Amino acid sequence: MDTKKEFQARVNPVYTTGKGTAGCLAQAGNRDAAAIVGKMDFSQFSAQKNQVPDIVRKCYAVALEARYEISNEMIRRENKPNLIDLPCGYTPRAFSMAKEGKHYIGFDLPVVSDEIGAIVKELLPAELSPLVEYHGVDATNYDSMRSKLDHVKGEVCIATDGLLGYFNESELSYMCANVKRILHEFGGSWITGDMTNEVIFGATFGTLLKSNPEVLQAFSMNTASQMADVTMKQNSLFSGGTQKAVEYLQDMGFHVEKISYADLMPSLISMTNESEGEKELREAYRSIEMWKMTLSPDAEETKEEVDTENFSAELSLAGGRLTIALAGRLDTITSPELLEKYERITQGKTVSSVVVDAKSLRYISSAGLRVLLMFYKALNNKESFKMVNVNSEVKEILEVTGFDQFLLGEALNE
Amino acid sequence: MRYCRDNDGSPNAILSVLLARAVRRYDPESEKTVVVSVAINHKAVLGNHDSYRMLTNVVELDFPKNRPLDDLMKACTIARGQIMLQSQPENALWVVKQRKETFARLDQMPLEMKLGIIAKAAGSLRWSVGVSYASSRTFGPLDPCIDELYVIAEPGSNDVICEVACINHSFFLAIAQTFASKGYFKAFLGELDEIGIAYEIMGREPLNMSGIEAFAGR
Repeated sequence: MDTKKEFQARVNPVYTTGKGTAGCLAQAGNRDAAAIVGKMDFSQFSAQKNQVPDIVRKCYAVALEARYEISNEMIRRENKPNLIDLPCGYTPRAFSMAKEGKHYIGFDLPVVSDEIGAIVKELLPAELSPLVEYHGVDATNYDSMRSKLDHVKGEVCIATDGLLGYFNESELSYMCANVKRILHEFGGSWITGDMTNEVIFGATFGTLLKSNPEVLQAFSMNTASQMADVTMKQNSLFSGGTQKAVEYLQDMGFHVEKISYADLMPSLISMTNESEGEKELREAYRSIEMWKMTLSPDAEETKEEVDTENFSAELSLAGGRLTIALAGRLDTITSPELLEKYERITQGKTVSSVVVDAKSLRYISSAGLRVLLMFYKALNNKESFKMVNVNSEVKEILEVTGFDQFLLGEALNE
Repeated sequence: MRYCRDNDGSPNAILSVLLARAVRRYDPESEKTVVVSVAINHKAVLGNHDSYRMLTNVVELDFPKNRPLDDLMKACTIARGQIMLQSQPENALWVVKQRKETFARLDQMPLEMKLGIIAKAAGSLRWSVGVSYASSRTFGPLDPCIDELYVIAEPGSNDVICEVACINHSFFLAIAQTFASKGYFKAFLGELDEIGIAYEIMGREPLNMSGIEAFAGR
């Protein structure tokens, strides 16, 4: 790898699991995937490949092809003119979607989008090229995504596969808020199988191998975590069970529908001539679901912004959840403005939870503490107040004053 | 007050920090935590400003040795935050309840036992320094005639007590201490000099019951 790629890979090791998916799709028999893999550097996977028995590799290939094609089928049923593939990874989705006349927009880390974008551009028929684009984005940064959509017309389908489990709580809330804003503007839906994806490996291995799926699933999780160099599934979509995940998304202003994998699964290339096995697999997938999020009818988005030279605050209220992103200094001068915006945005509305993102907050004075205490006291359920991404100076002030017991709670320095 | 505003301090907070810094300056080798008590009127906290019969108590600010006080604004923010939390209405109500229960228990005790307890409580030192500042004061049309205003208090539970009065936009501090040495007072003046607060020393005297010096010899 060249220096730039090596640096990006070291900074963002998670992207390597995307390459693994492309490899498995190629092994499953997807020709477009095989063409992409042929253009990529797969040397880092050689050692791992040799450690994995053939039958296990086949199970991975079947599971990943099923997951990929089920997602594609869901995208087709949504029938939106634009597909935002977030993250796009190294899959050949652009090929099939462009052939079907969709405008394909692949979003991923720059190291991924640069590589896959160049490969697809080389392989794609010229007449389909205008329909396909790739961009490096930060899914937690709204502007980084929105700036790539200026030319997009019509509704969008945002497809997320293999991303949400890597986010911490704060990143997840940003992602959800950003998706909501995009759907507000363009209309459409957000689909993902992330909440149940790990189960597909167990179901596939259990069906094809008739052996203990938990052991093999643990193997899969460990491998992914090691490759990603992050601890997975440590946020509200995963840590509290399915019902809590649904409630979280509803709180964020989404309406949630679930569709069984069994009702979406097409015939798989990897199970050609194994019709009985494929039938068993479909039944094994019956309890696994694709989630579709659309904007809840009563989740109107309201935004208020405060911006002074030293301070900015972005407030958004949707579905009872108030998100406040602070930057700069929250002091005697800026605190009253924050309070004013808070009162304006919450007037006549119910606030059931508050998340304060202090990622860019440099300093908080006693006036700021007072305002946050007011927000905290206004909640019926005090445990639904969270302040996250607090820097060391602000954290020291909160701890020494005793405010950490109320404002930080469990979400300490995520 | 401008200095208070610029450094995120109320008069109570900034004086507490300066008096704590003065302790450190006075005895830099000491590892002890400096504890400053700040007077609070619980009735006012609960919304009753009719304070002809006040329910006062204190909130406590601790200044451990390992917490630097060089950054005055940060130290004031912390002090003010601590005051803010301790003076929340819920805590005021709790104090009122505790006070009632204490007096109810005292009522049950024999007189001698009660006197012993009260004497013991009165003599025990609980805080290093005490700061007491109710609010600025006005005497209506008499204000233009008033040059200085002091509130004198005995340092009963503290080594040092600082009573603060404010009139005609000037602050007046009456600092009383239980020891004769002038070292600590000089250290406090050094703190004021360091941060550029101008002051004038109007007087210095042993603490007496006021108004009876002339009759003390009889």
